[in-house]
Amino acid sequence: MGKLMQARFWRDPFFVMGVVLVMYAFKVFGKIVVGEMIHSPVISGDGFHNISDLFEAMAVMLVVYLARRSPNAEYPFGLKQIEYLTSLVIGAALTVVAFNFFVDSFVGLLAQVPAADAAVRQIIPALPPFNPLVMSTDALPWILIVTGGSALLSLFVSRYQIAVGKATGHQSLIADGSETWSDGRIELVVLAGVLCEYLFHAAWLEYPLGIYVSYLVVHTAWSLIKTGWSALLLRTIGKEHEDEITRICLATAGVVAVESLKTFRVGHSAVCMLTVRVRGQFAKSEHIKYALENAITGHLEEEDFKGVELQLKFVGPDPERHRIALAVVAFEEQPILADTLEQCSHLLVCDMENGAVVRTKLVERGGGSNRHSSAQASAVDLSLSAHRCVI
Amino acid sequence: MKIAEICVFYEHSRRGRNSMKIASVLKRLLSSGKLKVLTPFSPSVPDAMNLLQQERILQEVLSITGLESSEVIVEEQLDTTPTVFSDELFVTPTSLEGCDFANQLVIFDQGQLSLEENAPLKMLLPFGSGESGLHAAGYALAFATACRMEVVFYHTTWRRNSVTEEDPALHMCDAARAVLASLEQSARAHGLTTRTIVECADDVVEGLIQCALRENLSIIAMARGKTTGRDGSYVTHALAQSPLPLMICGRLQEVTLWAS
Repeated sequence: MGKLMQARFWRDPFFVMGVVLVMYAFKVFGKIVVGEMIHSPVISGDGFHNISDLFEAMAVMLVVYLARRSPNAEYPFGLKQIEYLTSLVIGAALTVVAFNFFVDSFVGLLAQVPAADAAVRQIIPALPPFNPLVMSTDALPWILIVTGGSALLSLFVSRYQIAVGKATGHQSLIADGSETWSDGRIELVVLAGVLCEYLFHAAWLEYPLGIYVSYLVVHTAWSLIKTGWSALLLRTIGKEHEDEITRICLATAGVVAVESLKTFRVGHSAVCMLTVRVRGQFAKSEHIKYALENAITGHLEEEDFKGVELQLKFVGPDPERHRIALAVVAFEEQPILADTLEQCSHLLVCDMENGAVVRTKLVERGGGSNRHSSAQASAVDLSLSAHRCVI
Repeated sequence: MKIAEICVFYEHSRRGRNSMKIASVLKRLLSSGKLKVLTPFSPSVPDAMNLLQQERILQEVLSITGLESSEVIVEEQLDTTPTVFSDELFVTPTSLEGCDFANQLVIFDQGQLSLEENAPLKMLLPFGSGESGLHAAGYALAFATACRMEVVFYHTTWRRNSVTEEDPALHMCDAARAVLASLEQSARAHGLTTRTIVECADDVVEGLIQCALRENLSIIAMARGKTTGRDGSYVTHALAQSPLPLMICGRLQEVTLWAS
């Protein structure tokens, strides 16, 4: 048994979807047979609805198969994003389910107050008719078995799907699991209605509960749509992550600044396009790259990303070009700093790069100039460095 | 051994300012004597002008470092390279050429060093089977003690065919084990917190730099050994490759060139 639990196939997405297919097959069979047996259009209708879930599960298997294909020249990031398309589609479908469920529950609640029902129907004539629960004592066990069993199956299998989806990084599994979870909640509400009718003759309790469940389903649907939308349109992985990446970069020896940072999500992997300004020799860039890859990958993998693709670009330091002038007097053919501007005979104009003099020009106070070579420049900088007046 | 003084060469450039800033942080941290700022001496220039220059340099150093004038001494120096071993620490943006006697903290173009009082400070001290690790430890452990640093001893070793275990520590040779034992004993005597990382890196210098970066260490401390490779010693390689500040502990004796 221990070996069985440790077996890897439990975590294989195709095995999970196989379990989902079996679950839907049971649901379809059970609901249609029981529905026809007790002449309940609600139960048999739900059974036919589950046939579409069967096809959806097969579609998810196809999506997982495509998403697992390796990247190639045509699709450098592979086809992982297709899973987010599934998320978007399932989210949209769930919104429709939630809307229908909300309308049915609202109509049921309204039917409890006939005067209000009539008034609302005058304003919204398109409201569907109210179908009260028709139930005999003989049918009760069957209904309980089908709805209760179905709800429990949905809740259990959905958790399993979501857990494996998160562990293996398959968003389509998570999306399908979320939908199954919503199905389970709806089935639980139906079960609650049946029990309330049988125990208290208060079937109306099902309807406010139904409105609450439709709110929860919309919430799930919105979350799936948002996730799909963000991934497909390459939304950033989040400001908090980007702030942390910037902090890591600036804390790394040799990095002066983060010039640009673009992040997005491909499947359950994060892609970071990073340009950093580094100091000094580029020979050190390989080690800086190692440090950044190590720290950024470590951070993102701790945050539920299954992988990180880091594209690093290094740029050199800003030369900080500017010009300064030194007031000098000639002393034994050498420029010496003058005490004051009034005493100077020349101005030594220095072009600065990276804090060092790269070019100088000696300008006579009354006009005329001598250009110094850059070889002389460093000597000038060394001897006159502390005595400058900026013009 | 103790760190007597922090010295820095005056240079009117960004990296010169960085050196002075870091030197002043170290001076405060180590509560050492005055910060010694060395300036080039021009014998051909009249004394009055040199004095004026010294005063201007002092004012600039004070504005950069935020130190009091009583904490800084500006000294003119004709020959800028120390010729005998001393316990001064030179903070410099590049290594002092031909100056193997000086203890140097080469900061490259670093704008800051995580040496602030409350930051967790860590030093990597690589060692091999020779005496260079012990030599580095003589000065570096005193520095680490004064800065309350954690010290990480690092060693990279070849795999021994006779050892089947994966753990690199089991592949260390006896000489390296003896050096490690001696280093640990020294560190205990200083009351330092230490740990040891042993790897089987492809390249010694690459391995130690990557380890320091991976472990978020502040400084790598090394010393030149008695022998040096055809392309220079490990210190030379580290100077060329390390983005982290490198402390080169001054040597007391001559090195023997590999080529000779």
